[in-house]
Amino acid sequence: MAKARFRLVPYRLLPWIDWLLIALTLLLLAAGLITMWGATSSGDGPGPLQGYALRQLRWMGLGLTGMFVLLFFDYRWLRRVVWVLYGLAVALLGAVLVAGETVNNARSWFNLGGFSLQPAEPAKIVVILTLGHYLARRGRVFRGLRHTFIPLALALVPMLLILKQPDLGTAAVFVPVVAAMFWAAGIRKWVVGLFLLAGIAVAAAGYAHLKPYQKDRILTFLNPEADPRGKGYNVLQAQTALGSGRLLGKGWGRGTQTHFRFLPEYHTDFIFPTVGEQFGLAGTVAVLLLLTLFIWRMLDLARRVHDLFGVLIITGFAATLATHMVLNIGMTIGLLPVTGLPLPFFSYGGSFMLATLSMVGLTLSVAARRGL
Amino acid sequence: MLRKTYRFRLLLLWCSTFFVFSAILVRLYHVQVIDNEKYLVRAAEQQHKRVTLTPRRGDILDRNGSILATSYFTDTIVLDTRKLRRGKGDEAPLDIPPGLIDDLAEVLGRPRSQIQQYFDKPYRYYVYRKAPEEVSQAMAMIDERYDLPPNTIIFEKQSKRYYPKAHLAAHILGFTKIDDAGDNIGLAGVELQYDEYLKGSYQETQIPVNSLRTGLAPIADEVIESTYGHNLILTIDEQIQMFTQRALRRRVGELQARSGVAIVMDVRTGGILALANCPDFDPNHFSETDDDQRLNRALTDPFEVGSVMKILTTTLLLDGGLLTPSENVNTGSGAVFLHGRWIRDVHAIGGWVPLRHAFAESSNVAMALLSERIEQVAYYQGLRRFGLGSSLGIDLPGEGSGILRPVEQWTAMSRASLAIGYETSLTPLQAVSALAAIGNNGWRMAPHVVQAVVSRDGRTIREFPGEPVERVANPETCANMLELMEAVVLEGTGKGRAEVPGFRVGGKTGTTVKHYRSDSGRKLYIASFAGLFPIDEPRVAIFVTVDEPRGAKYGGEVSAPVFREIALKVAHILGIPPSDPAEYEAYRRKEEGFVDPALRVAEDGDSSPSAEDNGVLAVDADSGGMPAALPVEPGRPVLPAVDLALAESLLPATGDEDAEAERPRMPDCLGLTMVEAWERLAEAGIEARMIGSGLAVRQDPAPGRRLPASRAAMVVFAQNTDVAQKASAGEDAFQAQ
Repeated sequence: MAKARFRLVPYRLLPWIDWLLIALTLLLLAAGLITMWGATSSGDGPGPLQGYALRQLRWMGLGLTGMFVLLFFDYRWLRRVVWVLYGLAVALLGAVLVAGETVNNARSWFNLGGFSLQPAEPAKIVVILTLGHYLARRGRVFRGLRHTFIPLALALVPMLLILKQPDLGTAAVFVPVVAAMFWAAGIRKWVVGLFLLAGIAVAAAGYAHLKPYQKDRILTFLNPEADPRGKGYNVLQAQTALGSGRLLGKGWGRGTQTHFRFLPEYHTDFIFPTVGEQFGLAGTVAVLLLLTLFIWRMLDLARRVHDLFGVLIITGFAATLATHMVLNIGMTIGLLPVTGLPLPFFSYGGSFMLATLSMVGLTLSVAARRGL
Repeated sequence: MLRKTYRFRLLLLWCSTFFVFSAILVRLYHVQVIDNEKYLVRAAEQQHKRVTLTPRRGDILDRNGSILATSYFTDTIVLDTRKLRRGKGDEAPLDIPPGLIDDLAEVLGRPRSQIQQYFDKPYRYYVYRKAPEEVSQAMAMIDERYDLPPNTIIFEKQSKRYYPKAHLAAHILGFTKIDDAGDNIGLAGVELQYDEYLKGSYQETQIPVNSLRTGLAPIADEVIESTYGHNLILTIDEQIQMFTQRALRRRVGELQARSGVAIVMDVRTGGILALANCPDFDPNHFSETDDDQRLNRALTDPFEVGSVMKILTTTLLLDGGLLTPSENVNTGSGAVFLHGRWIRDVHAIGGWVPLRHAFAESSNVAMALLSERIEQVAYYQGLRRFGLGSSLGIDLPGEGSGILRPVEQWTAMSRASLAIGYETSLTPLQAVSALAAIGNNGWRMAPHVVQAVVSRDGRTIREFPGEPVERVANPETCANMLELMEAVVLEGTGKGRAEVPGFRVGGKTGTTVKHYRSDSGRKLYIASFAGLFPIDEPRVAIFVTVDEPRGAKYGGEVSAPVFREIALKVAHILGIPPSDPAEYEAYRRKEEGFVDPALRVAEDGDSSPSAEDNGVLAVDADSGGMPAALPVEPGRPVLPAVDLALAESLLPATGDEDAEAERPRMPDCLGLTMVEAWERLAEAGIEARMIGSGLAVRQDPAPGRRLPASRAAMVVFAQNTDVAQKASAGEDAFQAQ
């Protein structure tokens, strides 16, 4: 492995900076901010920028700063400290189970005196870096079933800790991420098939071990109308918001489902329906298009990179963000059970915003060094 | 691994992502385009709440638009303790926040044990009807402080009835009570007769709500007003009613009579301009009154009208050609023995005298003899045409029909008895209606008190113009009758008592001896006067009757002065031109000392007012702060003069003089609407006379002064805001001096 070298003034990087991905990021952030602004204003059109939208803007500023710092930071240096980071992440995940704050029945927050941190968010990045580092070193031999045991274990430790919080949604994100990274690293197809079968078996067996509310979510997903005022309420209200927005929406800041407090969690998990309510199908399709382009651009960049570690972490990041997008939107439109995953660039939440933009920053960092 | 491999594999990854995103797109199209109708309906349904609007009962106005009865809303507070159940089901225990019961007891002013009962048996309780504003506010604060579940404390709006003029026209207005459903329903008077129009309709509407079912927008005024009841416009004239009531009350008081009735009817339309009964009552407190006070004698109490019947008999004789106006009639020797009974005159005339003289002196003998000329059946039918023996169908409840026996039951004596007013009984309304028919060229009009039903936005729903019922006599007959009736006042039983200076008047006195005597053995009388005014071109028929007067007994001495007083007021309230203006003016200056400015229209050049010339109310300096004169503008009615004595005459004096320092202070009502003023006065514990309509322009006592026990508070309202503003400007100027 080549020793990474540091350059304080990265002139040589400039031609390789991927402006398209940056532009897509900024567009999505802008769309997220406008949606949030309209959803949290007082009704009858957007009011002054305040509350959640204003705080979200601050997190965006912080996240974008971080993103550009990471862009000029040589990602390869991370391989030196990856085990330290991994240890730290696991330790934090363990600690949160003991000392964390309980919100919505899940012990997943550290309260650091007015500032709260969700250790699962950085943990996602760390696991991707660790797997990327491990798989890149064994790139040429990573083929069969037996090669998967150690990386699987590496992913399972934090995943189980997150499951313990319990945060099924975030833990579930690990599955497609690990699968995508294994796949990109070159695992044989029959192993994938085997995993699929094992996955179904585990899911079937695991259903019995789910907590009652988790079972409810799945049953509710299958038939949301069964209890429209109770368990099916959120999803029904989300779809009502989307449906009543129709083709062109009710207008910016004029979403009645939102302002009259029918749609719960409209600033976090259920922000996508407010896009549909305010801007109609035109808005949701535009957002969907931007998200698709964004994922396409990440994977497209990965294909141009020569460094396997870089390829693998971009794949991991793309898989993480895509999983969030699919699970979140799928949940709000009734395609998937409620998992409580935020929508990248849109949902309110500092930790998640920083994590998302860090992933974008690292992707840009990898892409900018593809010519070196 | 080969770069080629992972490039291919990444492409596959992208494809699978794209596939999932496409599935999302399909689903979005489904939700937002294909199925959007369903979601739109669901959103609309849950974002709106059906609310039932409580109607506001319509107002009752006099013919000039002055408010006689109105409504405003109060809160009825409902406490639904079932909402505090900790879980579902009827047996779940209540979750009672500590301190709640004590606070409720304090705000509602009830013992704690009583409040406790509401919680012991959870149910929906009406805990406060007609709640004052501060109680409502305090309850709302409790609701907020304890964060009670929605609908634990409910404020139900209720329309409360209010009669700003208190006793005025009480028998016509009637009153309402709150029924079980919490509505005002009419129990008497036009409140009962026109309940369907007045009560309005409950209406459902939708208001936007949030997920907590809290209303988000006020209901549009048009929607609210569409539920309101219609307004009634009466034929009653507030001022004529006021003076009629006052004159009657005073006369009944002076003579310590049992009761009295006075009716003023517009002869051209049959509309009642004033209808007064004594005793009367305040419909605001009808439950504290007794049947005797609430009885509308004008409609319900038929009595033998005595000589007043001579008008009808003479009319029928003249009309049938059985008598000529210039004929001499036999008055016998002052008494005549007819069909086995003596009929006597009060003042014997004797011999053959002109009809005019016999009529003026009310000769029973002449009339009894003349009645022999008319066929029984024709007589009966003629009296029926006048409306005797059946109710007239006035638009008020409880009208009696009087008594007129069918011809088969008549005896040989009947015609003579009927001719002088016995063997039949009429309600005062029948009497005035028959009289009015003669004043209206022989056309009897349907009596009514409601002129029109008008919706709140001013559309006319129903109109009741004069409706002719029957022709009772030819115009020539009527003209002759008017002359005969004028003779009564000029030279007969009404002489010196019924004359109205400057006008020609006519009428007929009536005195009836009651069948029974008082405990002391004294003979009891009913003294009446039926008059048309002015007699040369009658505008109103006035009937006054006083039951069991003491000290005087004849219609001429008891009731004619009341007629005279009412006629004088009617003359200038209706603007009837005097036949002798000089005499009229001279009389008024001499007797009354001022020209009553009521309804007087200021003329050009009147704009520099001097109080005397313009006849503006002179101000009692003691009342303090009342403007000395109102500015007069050309073409605009001058405000009616306010009769301070009226307040005393209509309201029983309250309180004792010693407690002057304890008397409530008069709040500042100037510029307020009637209901606002009433509420402010109610807060101060003052019940004031309200006169006029519009905004308050004057008040007595002045703001901040104590209300003397010796007189009632009064607030005067005027329609025209300019006048109102100027009046209050004048107020400032006065205080500055």
